[in-house]
Amino acid sequence: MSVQVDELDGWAVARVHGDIDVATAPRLREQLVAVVTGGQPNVVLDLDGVEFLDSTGLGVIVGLLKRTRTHGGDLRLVCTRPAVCRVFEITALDRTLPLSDSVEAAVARPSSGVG
Amino acid sequence: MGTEVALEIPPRREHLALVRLVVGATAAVGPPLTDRRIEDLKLAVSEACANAMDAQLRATSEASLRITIELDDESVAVTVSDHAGGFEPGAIDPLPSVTDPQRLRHERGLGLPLMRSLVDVVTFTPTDAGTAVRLEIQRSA
Repeated sequence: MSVQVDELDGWAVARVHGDIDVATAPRLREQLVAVVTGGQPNVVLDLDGVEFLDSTGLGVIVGLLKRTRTHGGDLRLVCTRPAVCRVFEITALDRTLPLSDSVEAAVARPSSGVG
Repeated sequence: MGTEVALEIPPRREHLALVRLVVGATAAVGPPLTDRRIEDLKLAVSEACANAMDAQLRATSEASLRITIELDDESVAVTVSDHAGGFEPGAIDPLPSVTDPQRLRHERGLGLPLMRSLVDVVTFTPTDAGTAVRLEIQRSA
């Protein structure tokens, strides 16, 4: 698993590649926490390069959502791969964290303020 | 007649990707299953293996995990057997349903309810060494 962080219109865009599971999630958490505590609480997490997501990975994403909001920001998700989107649907997390089909759409989404 | 494939791995998380690969490739043998069902099974097995590894870590057991895949015309079943001593799923603190908004307070522990929503039958059986978790999907479902 690897993470590449870029900037777009005042958002940190974190593109993740590979599998997010109990083995790799701690590294993902560490890198995303560094983005938020480094002064960028508005984060787009792009999961289009992710082939697998488990419950520990979901936990990291929920933790990141809380952390961005605590810092006055927000988290947006980009997800189009069925196998990964499905995990959000089964757990109904897509209601709290709507899935966008591109980084541009995620950034343009109005703030939900839910959660 | 059914087919059985078995895999033994050290109880270390970096081996989970291998387990998923083997389960995905093996489940694709025989009467076709949709990609969605195969992905669901891979996730359920990965969660079961991660739980088994955590349990063995607590029990300080370095013994291998055994993953058995049984295929026949009606179903695909994967059994994960650990060496962690006993485990009673009912004895674990109850967690909210996977879709309950309260669950957002929990960053861990969603694996078990997730397994139950991913496959058709989840069975826990005590063994001499620990616990066997069997995850079954029906081809007709």
